Amino acid sequence: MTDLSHTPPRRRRRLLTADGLLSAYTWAFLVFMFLPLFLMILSSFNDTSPPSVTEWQGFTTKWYAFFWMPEETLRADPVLRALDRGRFVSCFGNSLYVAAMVVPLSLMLGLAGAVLLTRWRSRANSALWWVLLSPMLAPGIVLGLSALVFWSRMGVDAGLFTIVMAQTTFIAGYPMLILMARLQRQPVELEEAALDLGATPFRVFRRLTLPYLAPALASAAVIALMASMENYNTTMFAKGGACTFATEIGAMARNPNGHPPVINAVGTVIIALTVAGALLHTFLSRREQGR
Amino acid sequence: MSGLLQGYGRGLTLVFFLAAAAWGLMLIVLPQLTMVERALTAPSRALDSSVAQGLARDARTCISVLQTYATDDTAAATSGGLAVPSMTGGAPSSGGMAVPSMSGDASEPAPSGGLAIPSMTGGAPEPAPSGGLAIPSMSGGAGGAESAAPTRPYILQCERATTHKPLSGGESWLDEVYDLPKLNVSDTAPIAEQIAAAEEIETLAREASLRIREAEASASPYTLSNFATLFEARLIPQSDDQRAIEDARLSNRLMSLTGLRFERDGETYSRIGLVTLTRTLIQAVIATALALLLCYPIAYKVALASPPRQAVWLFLGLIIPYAIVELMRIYAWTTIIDNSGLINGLLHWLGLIDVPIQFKRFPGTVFLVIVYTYVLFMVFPIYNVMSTLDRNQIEAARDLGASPWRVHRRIIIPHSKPGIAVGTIATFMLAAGAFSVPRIISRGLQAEWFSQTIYNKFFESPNANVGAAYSFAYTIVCFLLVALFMWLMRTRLKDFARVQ
Repeated sequence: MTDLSHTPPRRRRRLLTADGLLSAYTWAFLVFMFLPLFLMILSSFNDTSPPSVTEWQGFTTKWYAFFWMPEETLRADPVLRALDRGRFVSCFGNSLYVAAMVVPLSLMLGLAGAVLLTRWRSRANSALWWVLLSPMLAPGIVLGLSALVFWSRMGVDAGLFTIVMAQTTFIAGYPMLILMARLQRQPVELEEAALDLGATPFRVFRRLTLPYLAPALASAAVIALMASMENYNTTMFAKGGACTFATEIGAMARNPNGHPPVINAVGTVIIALTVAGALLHTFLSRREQGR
Repeated sequence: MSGLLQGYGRGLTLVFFLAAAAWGLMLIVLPQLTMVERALTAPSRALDSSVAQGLARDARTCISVLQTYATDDTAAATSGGLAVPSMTGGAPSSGGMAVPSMSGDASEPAPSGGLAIPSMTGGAPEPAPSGGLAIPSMSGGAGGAESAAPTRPYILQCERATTHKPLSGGESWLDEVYDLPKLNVSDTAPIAEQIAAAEEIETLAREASLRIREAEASASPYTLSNFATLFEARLIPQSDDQRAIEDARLSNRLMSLTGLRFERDGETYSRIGLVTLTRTLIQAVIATALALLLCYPIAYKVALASPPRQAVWLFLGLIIPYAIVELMRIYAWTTIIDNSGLINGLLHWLGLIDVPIQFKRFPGTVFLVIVYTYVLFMVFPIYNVMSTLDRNQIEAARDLGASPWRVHRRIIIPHSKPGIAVGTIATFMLAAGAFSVPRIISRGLQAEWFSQTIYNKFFESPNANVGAAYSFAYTIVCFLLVALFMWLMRTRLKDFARVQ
């Protein structure tokens, strides 16, 4: 605690105990956050189904190998042969397809919303605020259901299209908020200078504004991608007969008798990817700060 | 507007406006309006004209079935196989198995001998000469020749062909409301008279159906009945002992006070829809409050009370669980709470229990996992605002002798108020709209979260419009709560942009 160095000794001791408590509490909180994840990782290597950490039956990687083991080995396994690998893979493909639609759509809508909300001086501005931010405040299930109802009224059956529409409704809000934060800090002088020198507004947008927004666009794209891939609540209501990665995981996890630890294996891979991504991000941003 | 045009040019400005309009209209406003319309529309089969139309159809079928008895009531069933008479009749007389059809004119009874199953509609006029196993029909009319009183077997459509027909809701009758004579097809009258009666009913019903449909077409198609089902009271069947136990519960006493539960004629009624709604909202509010209590110290620790080098790692420790797929974090809990999970395993190992405790049946489990899943949505908004506070302010206050409590109350909390408000709103909305947590954790073994009620009403009940009404009502209630909270906290919508 460097910033407390010149408090009187008596008070410092009291603060230090308070500080110790705070540290202990923080650690407890982190343990609370990580313990279930740790158990999930642990049981993904346990050779027993349904997943368990209390009955250790030996180390195995077959819950991971499920995704690439040859068909004969799969048939021979008493637990794994009940699972439908093809369906799982096709649901994951659906998820990728949905995300590939949602991400560019959300970036476009988010950019338009951000520009209007920051630069449009009008009375309608606050109404626009309410309309565009309301999906982020509404329960996700309602968005899924209303997309389903609206598009079936338009003659479109529930499926991947309604999933894309329902997800875009609220996911577009994330890029909007991120881009707004950056747009507000944009120096106008450059733009004005370029316009004065005779550049067309479109050219200014392409050569000045977009490059300025590029980092924000990139992080918004990552966030939109993650939000789209993991979305369950909205998708469940809009999906019709289609499936995505999240709904498939949800359906597997709901099995009352417990499900083979294949989900744990998937979860472990996701955790590993997330940790790697977060570490990379921290490392890069620290190096940038160091420069 | 001029600023926009100057900065972005006409083309780009138009594109931005079009995109925002498409987003606002096609994705947000119009879908909600469609939901309102859906919620206000009564299901078409509940219309009175459909009841009259159904009556005409029944009478028609009744006539055609009766005609088969008028013409060949002497045909005898010969032996041969398995007769499965059905709604439609028209069974071919061949041997083996006869699969009748929808119209009910089984002119030639299926030759039986194997197994005869007289149907509800009575396609087999005379009992099958035995040879195998005969199962008498429910109506018992299979022996037309023997019994004296009824001149025909039981025919479902003829029984249904009466103008005294219940309308939707079951409390009013077609003949009374629309002033029709009370007619029916008596099964003791001669067949010819029965046919005449059925024909009269058919004509009446057809006319009435046209007349009612015209009236209905000009009337407003909207009704609030779908919303009314949310307030509907349901009888709770229970024994007296059970009622005594239930009544003693604090939650039930509270519900009686608020009118969510009441007694009438010695029976208990409960407004199930409203009860679920209230329970969900209360749990969501408590979960949000708990999350705030849990998160404030964490946000303070990471933002203000640790040296930068340590703060980076703490921040990483928070961002990792935040970024992991929500479903996985929920699923991870099943390893803990399952019958063969961590807690049960430990308790069993310690010898404290023999039978596993069914944690997924405890409402508290869903509550705990909801807190776990959504708590981090509280941390980050608070952290983001708190980290903008100048630490010198805290130091100055301490130097001037302020107690830590006072520093929090006078400096840190006022500064981070927008973050607290935004975090609270985000967490509340996620908790109130939680669908994945109760669905995966409870696995249907305990009382529903309201989002599950909406799902069931929309996808699994006969009237999906009720689901639309529930969903819209829920949106409104949640928005009102949030608006009230924003007004209390003096939060503006623009804080969302500053904080996230």
